[in-house]
Amino acid sequence: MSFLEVSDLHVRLAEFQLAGVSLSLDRSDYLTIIGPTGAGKTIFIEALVGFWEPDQGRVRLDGRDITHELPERRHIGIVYQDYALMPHMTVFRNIAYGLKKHKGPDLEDNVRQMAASLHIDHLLHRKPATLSGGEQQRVALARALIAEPRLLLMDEPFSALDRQTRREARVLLKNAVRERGTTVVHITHDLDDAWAFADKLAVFKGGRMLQFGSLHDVLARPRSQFIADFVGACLIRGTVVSTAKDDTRIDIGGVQLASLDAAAPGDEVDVAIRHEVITLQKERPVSANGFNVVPAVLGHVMPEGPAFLVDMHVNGAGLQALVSHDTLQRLPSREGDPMYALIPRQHVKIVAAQHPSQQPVQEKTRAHTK
Amino acid sequence: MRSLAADSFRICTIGGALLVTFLLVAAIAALFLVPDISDVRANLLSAEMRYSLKLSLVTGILSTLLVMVFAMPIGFALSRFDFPFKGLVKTILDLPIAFPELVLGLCLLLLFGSTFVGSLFKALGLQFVFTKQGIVVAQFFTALPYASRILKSTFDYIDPKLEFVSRSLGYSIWETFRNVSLPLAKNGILAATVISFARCIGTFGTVLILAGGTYMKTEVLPMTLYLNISYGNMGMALTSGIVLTVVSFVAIYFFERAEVGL
Amino acid sequence: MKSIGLGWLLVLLTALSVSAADLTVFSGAGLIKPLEEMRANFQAQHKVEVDIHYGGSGEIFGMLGAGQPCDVLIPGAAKYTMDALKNGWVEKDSIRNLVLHKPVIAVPRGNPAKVAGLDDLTREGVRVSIGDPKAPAIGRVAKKILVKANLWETVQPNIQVYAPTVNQLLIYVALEQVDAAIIWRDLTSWAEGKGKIDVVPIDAPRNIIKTIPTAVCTKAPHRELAQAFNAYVASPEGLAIWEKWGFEPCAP
Repeated sequence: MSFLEVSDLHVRLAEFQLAGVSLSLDRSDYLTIIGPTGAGKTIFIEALVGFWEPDQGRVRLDGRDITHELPERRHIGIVYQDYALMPHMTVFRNIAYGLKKHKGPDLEDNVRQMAASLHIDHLLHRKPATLSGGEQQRVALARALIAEPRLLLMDEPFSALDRQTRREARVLLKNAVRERGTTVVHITHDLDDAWAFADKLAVFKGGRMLQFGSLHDVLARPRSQFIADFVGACLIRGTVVSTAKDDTRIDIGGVQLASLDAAAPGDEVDVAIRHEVITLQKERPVSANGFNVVPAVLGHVMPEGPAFLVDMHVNGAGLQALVSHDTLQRLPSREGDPMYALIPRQHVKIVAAQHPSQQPVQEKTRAHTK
Repeated sequence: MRSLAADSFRICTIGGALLVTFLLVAAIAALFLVPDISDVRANLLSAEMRYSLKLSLVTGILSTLLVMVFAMPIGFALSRFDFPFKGLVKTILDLPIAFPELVLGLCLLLLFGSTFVGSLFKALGLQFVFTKQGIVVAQFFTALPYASRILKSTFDYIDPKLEFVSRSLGYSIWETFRNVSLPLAKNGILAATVISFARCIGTFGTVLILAGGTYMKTEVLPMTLYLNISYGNMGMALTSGIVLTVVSFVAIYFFERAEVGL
Repeated sequence: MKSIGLGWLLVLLTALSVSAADLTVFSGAGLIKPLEEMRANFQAQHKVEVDIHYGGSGEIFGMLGAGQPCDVLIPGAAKYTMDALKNGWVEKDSIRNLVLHKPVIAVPRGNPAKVAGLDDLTREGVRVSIGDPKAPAIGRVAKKILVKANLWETVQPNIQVYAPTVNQLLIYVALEQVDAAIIWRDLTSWAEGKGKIDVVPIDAPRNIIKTIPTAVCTKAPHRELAQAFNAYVASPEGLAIWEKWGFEPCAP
């Protein structure tokens, strides 16, 4: 049995409703939930911590049904985007506030130890309003961790921080939760956070959970165009033309792609290819073992961070590749120019087939075995 | 750069504010300048004034405490919780603000006079018609809506996430209220207390009808003012006016200070 | 836009001040019913605006003393007119006695405490209310009646409330908050008609009956109109209206 099991959770609020969320985590798992604003991510974790009463569904934590347990009995910690520090308490008292149960003579030592591990021991006498965002964030984390929660929930903990502080905060957080083996649910709209920590990934949109699975599975096999766009992958429809061991051929508008994934001939399949695995070059390579070499037509180019997202057409199908500046320099410069895309076979992922022989998606199976 | 239109707008708004302020200052100054100072002193020391002042303070403090005891949960509930007919409850609780005091007094007289509610309180030893307890009841209902409104907006300003976090750390809703909501509402509570006290001390019509306004029995400061206008004793009337004005000034001073702190 | 709004505001303000100007009467609050009817008639006849300020007799006397402009003074008792005469505030020749102001005992409908006369007010358990002896005219008279009847001391424990205004007395009786109140006969007629209260007379020898006079003020801003109004309220036509509202005209 999993450590955290959420099954078919519905929460109806005045202007919003969260419908039918099911997922499960093992102890010490790190789940990142991504999705656009208004997806229902915050409501979901607030329901986990007990601030909203679910209208339907169950939540089990560590073998016990906590669906209707009072928040103060759940031992679930929460860190908010704006940190929600008590403005009338010093940093010391804010952290000590997390130690409700054992306020003994070692209270001061405990608080100092926790503060030191997050590098905020020099701030203990200050009021939260005088701290920087990064400092407040660490105080909020310290307050949550010192209570030794069974589950730690974080609502966009880094989104208000600048790049450098965010990087440092990620390292601190990662060490803090890994050391303690804390189980974490972390909400973000920034996929970088997921790359940094997650074992599992869930995608929310419009009050529903669209996909849930291991980080790499969701990143490599997005189940819909929306998810593909969100996690940075192409999703194209094709037909399986031939199968051999570790060599499934899929026809995409006249071009054939080879994949290591299994499928049955004649299946209509969705094929996912992550943007960063595609290499582009001007000339057809002489030898390309293990690669699909596909003639393509250059489309629009958009900067994405330090890299570039290049649109291209392959016999009518649209693909995107994430390439470095150097690579871009070596490509043809005008839209409509021909070039070649190199796609490693092991990165051509078959997401789902219309044919029923395909494996059902992971979390569905889990929900049913309950 | 300022445009001419904006400038005339500025002059109009500031001018309006200054004009009304000037009239108010003049009116209040008249209250202090017209009576004879030695007369005022003698009036302040008179048995009637001492009685009225003491009764006003005692009932005012008692009513204010009662108001706060009720306004605190009302303000919190209206701010935080959804419940059936919440809008209606809010409207009705606010009603006395718009109600003429005399009407409120009449309503209370009807309620505590001959209905079973009155008999119920009577059985508990609480008689509200023509009594000092009646003064407290009249003041309570007059001041309550002000306090509950101020407290509601005070709690509105406190981020409910702070309370959520407190509960996630193992504190019950009561402990959370005491540790988080209450200390953060401190300024609002002070403001509500001061305004309530000022309303309690100043309320006239409600007290007049319910408690009767009997000389040296249910005579609070506004009653002293009114009675002495009726007696034709202007000096005494003006003196009670001055005392009431001073109380209001002190109240507003504290209120403004609390507002700044909010 | 703004100047139009300001213009309207000015028009409104001036309209308000004009409508208050033609004739000002100070009157005891208990006389409101007949005086309102006479005011309407007088306004229609003379095409003027009459402003009547109703208040406790002591209150309007005080306002007159404070120099408020007033044309005609009609207090609830002759004493105030006589005091005003002593102070030189009203014209001696203009004083006319209008009607009798007769105190009675008002009791809630059905007379629950079985009050039959003055003596019953002292019976244990009877809840009594009178006007504040220093404020409304009825308070002063009630005290005098009780003192004269030698009941003032014994009635004290029964007095629940000294009401600063005469209207409170009526409300308290009608709502059965007291068993008896001493009040003007004329004030009871309306409530009695509605079946809210009953009236118990005070035996004539022990009663103190007041007369209500009218008088023109010496500093009347509108002398001629004031004299006309003064004459109208004392005319046979005026007296008929007084009678209609339960007042007993003075013997001519």
